[in-house]
Amino acid sequence: MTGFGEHLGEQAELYALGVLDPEERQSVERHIAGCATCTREVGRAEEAVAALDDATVPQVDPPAELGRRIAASALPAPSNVVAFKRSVGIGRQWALAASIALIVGLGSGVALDRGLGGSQAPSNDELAIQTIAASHFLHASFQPASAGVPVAKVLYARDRSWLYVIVDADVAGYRVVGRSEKGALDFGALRPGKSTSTLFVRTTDRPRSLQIVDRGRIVASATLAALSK
Amino acid sequence: MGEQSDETLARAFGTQRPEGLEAVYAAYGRALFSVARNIFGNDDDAQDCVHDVLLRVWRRPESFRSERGSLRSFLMACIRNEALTRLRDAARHRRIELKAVVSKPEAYDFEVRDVVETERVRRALATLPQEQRSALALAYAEHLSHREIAERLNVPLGTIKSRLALGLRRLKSQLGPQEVTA
Repeated sequence: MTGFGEHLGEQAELYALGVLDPEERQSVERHIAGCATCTREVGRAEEAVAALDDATVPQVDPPAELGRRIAASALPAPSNVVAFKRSVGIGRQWALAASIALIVGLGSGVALDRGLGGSQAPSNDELAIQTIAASHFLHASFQPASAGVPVAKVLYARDRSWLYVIVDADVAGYRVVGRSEKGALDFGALRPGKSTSTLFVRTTDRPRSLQIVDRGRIVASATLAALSK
Repeated sequence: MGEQSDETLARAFGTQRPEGLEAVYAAYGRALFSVARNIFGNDDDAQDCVHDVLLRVWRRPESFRSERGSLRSFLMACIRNEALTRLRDAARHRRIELKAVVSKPEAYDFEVRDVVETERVRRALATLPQEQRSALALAYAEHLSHREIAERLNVPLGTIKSRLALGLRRLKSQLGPQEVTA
């Protein structure tokens, strides 16, 4: 049930103007999914609003980083990633990885332990480097909960849509947990390497803080800045 | 490379290949970003909105059908709706009483930019009765919902809905020749 009569009527224009409540908007979307007549009506109303936009909205060039972000987000998932090796050569990957090591101030082997160019599918680290190369990002240090905890840092997107956790030790069993408005989020286990352990994840939950957890015990915590609001 | 038609871009976009997304962004990114920036008033939120909406629609190509009209106006509408939703959510969460601090002039109006193409829109707007133009201006330029407009103008919600719909319909007919074909 859409809650309308046969057709949308004035709801088509109200939808195009963006004045409806979220529930009303969803009702319109459900209706037009099965009604070609109202799809056309909404489309005509949207053309009129677009004409208003063209006439009244000052045109501004988007920052170059937006195009890079969109291109990076459109990269194939880890399971089918042939394009990755075409777009970033091995030498450039190492250069980027070395830059990351400098940025976060960890050992020279950061993020370089695994899989650069050696296997068919790119590793978690390769995907991280590809994403970082196409983004503006921030970084933060984890605060250890006790002495003896290895140094750990996180690189993350300004909008917190991806994050890359690096621990300066070969650790097994550590997990990364995020906190957002939705509650706790288990991002998975850090992947141990020869000298560092890392985890790269994309997320739509925009965590505000992270914790590294070992068998239920919090080992270290970091707070992520929220720049977009 | 010449400019691609909207139809060609829509086909490429629908394939879910990155090249299609990049072509659409190259053609429409400026217009989409401008709409978002005009609503948010800052680059960061506008970027997030354009990024999220483009990726969401690109990953769900079934959300755009050719009878909807042009891909460009569809994407602009998606950006507008998403930006307004985020803006209103943020305002609600922060308990910003936007309405309380705004004076109440008798009429609200549009600011049309001074370029040749805008003359047609300016003429079309001039044909609208003032109450329809005020309601549209509050919806369009001040980003208010229908309920907020009714409250601001102290007019019943049903009346505001009618003014908005009639105003936009009249605008559509005035802008007529660019009819969408199925």
